[in-house]
Amino acid sequence: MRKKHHSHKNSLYGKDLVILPIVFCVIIYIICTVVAIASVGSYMPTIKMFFSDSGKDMSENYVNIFVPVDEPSETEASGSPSSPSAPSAEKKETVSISSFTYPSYDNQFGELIIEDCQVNAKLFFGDSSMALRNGVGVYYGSSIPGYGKTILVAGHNNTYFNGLKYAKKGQIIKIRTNYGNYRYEITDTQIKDKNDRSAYDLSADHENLILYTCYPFDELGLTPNRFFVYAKPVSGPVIDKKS
Amino acid sequence: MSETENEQQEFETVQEQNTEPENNGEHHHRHKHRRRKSKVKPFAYSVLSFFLAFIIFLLSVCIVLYSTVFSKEYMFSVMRSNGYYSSVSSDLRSRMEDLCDASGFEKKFADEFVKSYDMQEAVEDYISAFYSGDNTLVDTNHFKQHLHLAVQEYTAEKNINVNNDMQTNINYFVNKAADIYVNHISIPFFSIFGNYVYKLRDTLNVITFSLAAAALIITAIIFFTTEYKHRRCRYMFYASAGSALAVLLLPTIVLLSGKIKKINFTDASSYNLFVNYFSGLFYSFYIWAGALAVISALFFYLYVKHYRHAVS
Repeated sequence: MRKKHHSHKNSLYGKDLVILPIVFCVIIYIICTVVAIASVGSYMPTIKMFFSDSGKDMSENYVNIFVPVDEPSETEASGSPSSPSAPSAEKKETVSISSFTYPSYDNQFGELIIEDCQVNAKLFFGDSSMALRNGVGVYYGSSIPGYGKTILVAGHNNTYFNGLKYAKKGQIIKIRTNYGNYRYEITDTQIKDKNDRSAYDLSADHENLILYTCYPFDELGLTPNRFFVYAKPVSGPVIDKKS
Repeated sequence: MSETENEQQEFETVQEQNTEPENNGEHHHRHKHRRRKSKVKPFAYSVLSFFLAFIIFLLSVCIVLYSTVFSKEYMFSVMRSNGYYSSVSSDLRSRMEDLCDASGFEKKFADEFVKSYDMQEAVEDYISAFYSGDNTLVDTNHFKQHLHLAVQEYTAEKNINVNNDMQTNINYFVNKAADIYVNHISIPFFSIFGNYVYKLRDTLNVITFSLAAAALIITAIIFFTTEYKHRRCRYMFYASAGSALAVLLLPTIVLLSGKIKKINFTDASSYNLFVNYFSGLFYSFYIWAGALAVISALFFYLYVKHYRHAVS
């Protein structure tokens, strides 16, 4: 008859009790990693697009980089009485592009004032919902004052740009930014279809300011027309892009 | 995989060993043969334990997925605990206010309209459609009818005369509002993901049952082919502890990487829903790891108990 017998001289807590589960875990992950790379590895660049490099800030608060710049005096800024419109070439102010913080999207970087129209709004870079809710916004594909290109500014006709209905030729638009103060003179107002691309020229190589909003004013619903206000520069520092 | 020194010393003795061998060489040859056999069996059982650990790991993943990703109730519970419905209403109200700013309506019109609309029912109908394989387009008809009625009441209250041109503008406003409504009801990526959920549910059932059957078979092999109770418990401990570690490691890696919080969602309600949804999913893995840890502790206890009984 068989008799089974154990003989043990050492303790029952061997190293295998710790090592083997860890080895199992490592092997499982090696297998899973190999399978994952083989099956979805080619989609990784696409998958990475769904994630950003940093955490998301979902707050509705905007960043305000606007710090008013002192200007010498209103008369000096608008030029001598003998040459009322454009500043003389010898006295043209410049500001180095590296000397100020270039605004990022949704930053408030200034304010826009038309005293004759009772327009006084915060000026944002970008025309997102947040920007237009809190003020008026520079279209992201256009430029900023002093850059020498088209500045296209949008606002709601029911709120900050409601006063544009009183806009007339010759009125002054003031834009104060974190790098300088600008004055523009209204040259024209037009009503155009919202899809009319001839209403503005973003590739223009001279500085020009265009404000626009929905038209008619004080009408219910989303209207197909837009009210454009065109203005030319009167004074303000030119941004030196090379320095 | 090697045995402990204890195991190397285990051997079966038969009654013949009690008698004096006729010559020492023959006894030495039989002893050497038995030692060679005892290395192969533990290795084979260790490999079986590994397969069992892997299967239990995959089974845990399937069960967690089944109870979370493939479960409509889990989605609803996350939405309710996360305050998703009120968050969506708040976001929708904010966007409607922006639209009202551009459309000549007062802000309070948007506020009153959104308060009167049942967002929770709309969201749950949308989610339910995915899990039942129905049409997953957001129904905007009810929303538009509701909004048209609200506009009529508004114009009547303000004594506004609505001519044909204004009615056209109002219709455009309602359509734009419906677009905003659809963007807020529908969850980003869900239309892509939801289709897979519906189609893969049956496949997941088959995989889960297959894995469970495989686990039972391997367990039965270990139980019925090992001679000693403490050895069965030891191999089961290897399998359960290994799978517990693997199940524990998966959510730890994902949560520590912080990838979940970096998802590119633009609206706060969807972002918070996504973060809470996947955080809850990975925390479910911790629950499973805990359960497997308890099971492995139980097997360890039984192993110690049976080992001591065998030794005594």
